[in-house]
Amino acid sequence: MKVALRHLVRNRRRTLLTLLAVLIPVYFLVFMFGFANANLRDMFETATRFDTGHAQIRAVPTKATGSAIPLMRDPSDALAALAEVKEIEWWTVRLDLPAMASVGERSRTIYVRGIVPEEVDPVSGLADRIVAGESLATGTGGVVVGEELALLLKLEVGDEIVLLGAHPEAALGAIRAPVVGVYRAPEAALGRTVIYADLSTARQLARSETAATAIVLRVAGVTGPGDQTALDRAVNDLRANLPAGYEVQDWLELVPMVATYMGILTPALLIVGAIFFALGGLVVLNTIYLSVLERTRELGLILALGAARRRVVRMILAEAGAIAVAGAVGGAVTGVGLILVVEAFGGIPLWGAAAQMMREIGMSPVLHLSANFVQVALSTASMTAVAVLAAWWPARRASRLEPMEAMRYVE
Amino acid sequence: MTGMVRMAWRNLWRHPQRTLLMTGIVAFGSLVILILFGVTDGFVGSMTAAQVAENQGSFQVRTAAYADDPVLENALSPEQLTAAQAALTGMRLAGIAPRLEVGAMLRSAYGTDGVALRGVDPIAEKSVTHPDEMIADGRYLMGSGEILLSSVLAEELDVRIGERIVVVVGGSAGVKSQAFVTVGLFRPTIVEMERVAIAPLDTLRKLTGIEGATTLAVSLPGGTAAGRAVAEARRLLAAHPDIAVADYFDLNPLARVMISGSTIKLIPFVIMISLLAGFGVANTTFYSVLERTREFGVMTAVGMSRKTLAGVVLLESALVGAMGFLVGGGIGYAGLLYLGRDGIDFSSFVRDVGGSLGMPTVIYAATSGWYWVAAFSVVVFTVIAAAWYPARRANQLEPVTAIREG
Amino acid sequence: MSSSAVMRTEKLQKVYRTGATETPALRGVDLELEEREFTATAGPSGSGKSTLLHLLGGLDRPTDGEIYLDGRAMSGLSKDELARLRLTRIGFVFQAYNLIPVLTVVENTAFVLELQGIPYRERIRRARAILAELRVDKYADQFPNRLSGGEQQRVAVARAVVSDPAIVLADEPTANLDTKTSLDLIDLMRRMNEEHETTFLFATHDTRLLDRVDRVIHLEDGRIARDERVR
Repeated sequence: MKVALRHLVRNRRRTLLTLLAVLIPVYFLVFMFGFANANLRDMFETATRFDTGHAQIRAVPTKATGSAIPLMRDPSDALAALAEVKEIEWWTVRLDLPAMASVGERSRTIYVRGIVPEEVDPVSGLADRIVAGESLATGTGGVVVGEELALLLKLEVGDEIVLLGAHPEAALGAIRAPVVGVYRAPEAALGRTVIYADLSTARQLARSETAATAIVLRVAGVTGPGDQTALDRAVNDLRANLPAGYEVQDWLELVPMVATYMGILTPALLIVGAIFFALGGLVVLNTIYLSVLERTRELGLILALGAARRRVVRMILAEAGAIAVAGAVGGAVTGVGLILVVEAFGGIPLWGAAAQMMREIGMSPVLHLSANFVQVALSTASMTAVAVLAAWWPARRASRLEPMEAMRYVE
Repeated sequence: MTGMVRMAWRNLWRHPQRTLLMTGIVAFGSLVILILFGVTDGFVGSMTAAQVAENQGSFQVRTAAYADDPVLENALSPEQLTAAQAALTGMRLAGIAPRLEVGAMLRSAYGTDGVALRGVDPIAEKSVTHPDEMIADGRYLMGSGEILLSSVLAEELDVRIGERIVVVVGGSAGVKSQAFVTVGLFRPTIVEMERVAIAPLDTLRKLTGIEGATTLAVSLPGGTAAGRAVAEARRLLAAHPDIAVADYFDLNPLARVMISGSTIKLIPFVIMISLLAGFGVANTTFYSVLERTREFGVMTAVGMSRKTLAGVVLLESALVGAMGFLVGGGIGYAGLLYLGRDGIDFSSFVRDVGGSLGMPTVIYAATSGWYWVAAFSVVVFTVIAAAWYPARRANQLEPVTAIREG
Repeated sequence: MSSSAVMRTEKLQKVYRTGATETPALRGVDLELEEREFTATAGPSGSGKSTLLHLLGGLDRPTDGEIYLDGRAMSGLSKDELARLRLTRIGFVFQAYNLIPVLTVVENTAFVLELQGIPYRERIRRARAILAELRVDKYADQFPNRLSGGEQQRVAVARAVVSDPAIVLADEPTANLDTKTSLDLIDLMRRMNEEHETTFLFATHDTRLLDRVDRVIHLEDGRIARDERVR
């Protein structure tokens, strides 16, 4: 309505401040959600490419095994079942063994991860993460250690390492292996504890030709943490096909940290959002209230001329609505704009101890942002709703004025 | 001055609804800022306190080389250990205990787990980290060849009290193993300690062939400032350049980043909240100044200085700020008291994310500290800044125009 | 005669209460206003002129007595029904604050029509026509604060008659105007009264205006002291 808009223009300063009060919460929330999205995407990429895959087939544990993964003596029946599930686009067999690694007098408890390098490399990019020496190749018998472990054991490329297999379900094997390379893990804990070996080398350590602990797999069409339904469907198909004694765990079960993080993130953001929305709403309420106060005489006149009370309420709400829509949309636009600008410059790099900490918890030291249309739309819509709702009380107050008293009102 | 305050106060209550609304906005903002500060501060405090009390002690004495390369060969020799203990006798300490810490593999009949094996002097350790008070099942160490496991480890390895467990360690004489009897299970609050097994120092010395200790953990009597104590210990040990004192931040290199990080993260929140609350105050104050244009004109005409007028306007906002802070602070204090008593249980989150960073599983909000001052300053600054423009307008009034306009 | 009465009151009383004190403003007024009459109600301030106009306009409710508009009693109407009645049957001209500052002159004039739901083109056309009759059409697209007091009151008259109400009530419309402007305004109201056949009742304490009306009702202490036909 014309009157509402003209009032907003007449009181430019106040309108502007109120507009900002609506804009800021939306802007802030869009930005925060942007961080969270990119964070989750980062976690998903790191976890599923380097560590867990989208899901794994494992043996059902029959008894406690400590932190060791139960052993599959011969996973060929599982592999046959797997081949029939067409959503699965990639898989590889892996053998993770707890072991004691010693170099001279130094020793650490670690995991030996036996992999098929040619299958793993294109997905995990392990070959690209080699910082010294060379990557793993099938049949050479060498191992690749993490930077952190190399430091702890004072290891260099070319040194020999003694590995003592300690899987509770396997025979105790021991091997001497040359360190052919050093890799940089996405997460410090992995670099400290995982030694990569060729699958056949690892099997020597378990003294078995066929043993494995997991079949790591990727599902077609799953590209981010948002594709959980597609993943669930594939996992269920697979479960239906597998022989007894096997189970399937998806990445969220394998990296419960991400699941917890996701579980905590959304409510935390909603609380923060609610606080900001409430404050924004209060400011809108305050402004509309002042605007009603200031116009008491004018509202009295309008009522005296015979305007219906509903109409006065609508007029005030229209005023709040105009501010709310403009502010919220402005917030969304500037928020998304900032995200796009930051991303155009390649994210916000962290340095020093902060970067080290991000690595410690397995996150990229470059902060990224990513806007999600649904979140932006919801933030905008809810802030608009809160602002209009906040105007309800002053609007009702305005509509209940006694026309003659209102016209006599002196400021 | 009191006259100005009285005037400002009465001006506010000419329009109670308006003033209450403005106060409500300030109160809400204060409340949010206080809770944010309180929880953050409590988080940092809980983290530090739990680490000190359960795991590390107030500070540790180690060889200078051990910090960069924590292996057995960099342990304190028996001579160094004696020298360090002798040097520190001059200090008031609650406890001092040598430890031999080494990475080990535990093997039960069913499973294998990598752990940090901690050899302790059973008597001395009681006055540093009180492991005896954490025992949830079984008993504390009494003789050689005994071991304490965290309840998590015991469950993973399916070990019960009285059962044997094989410890595999690498020492100067190569990889060695020995069976220990599980006598007790302890339940720590910090996740890091769940990967710790505790055994008598002498048994571990025999197993590894190391005669000294990797660290000397020290605890301070309650109320002692850790920073000053560390400085004193460093002074007392200055004659031994090969021996170093590690304080909380040396032992937890990432803690400083986490603390500053969690404080820095608050800044944008605080700015945004101040801005929003400031808008509310600015709108109302500006309106109240405009409304009183005529009144102000009359007051200047009868000889009141314009500076005083501007002062009254600022004072009105300041009063609103103080009232808002009182209300928000009152509610905030009650809330923090509640959170401080019962704590916020973050265990599921910390177990996965923060374990490696030494975070505690339960976070107690702090109810006192620097942040009350910080929050009050933020509120005062916000309110004064918001009233600045309206006050300036009052200061620039020309009496004649003001009276005519009104 | 009563068949042509637009408005009629019976024993109209109004008492204002402030705390424990009661101030009677009207003490029983019986009045009939006939179609096309151009009537003034005169009397010193505090005589009850404004109160009478407010009661007649449905802006306030009497303490006792009854008002009939078009033969229908107003006491039974709800607040919303009263608002509807004001909108369609009554035109108002107030002492001051007559115009909405954020609307232009033509929008102000058309405002009542807008509230009645008359389409944009139609209401603007009617508003412009009335403004032309009142010789303020040159200000049609300006905001009220650019107009002099007399011009503003003319726009208020335009708004009061644009919706063809049964009666126009004007409460001291010339209170803030000088003599010449006041006389001009009364003449224009008189013209509206004649050309649009609208009943007018206005309150004034300015005796110079009284020789331009059909009938003068003198109020004293909330009672009709004299009711005289001038023409």
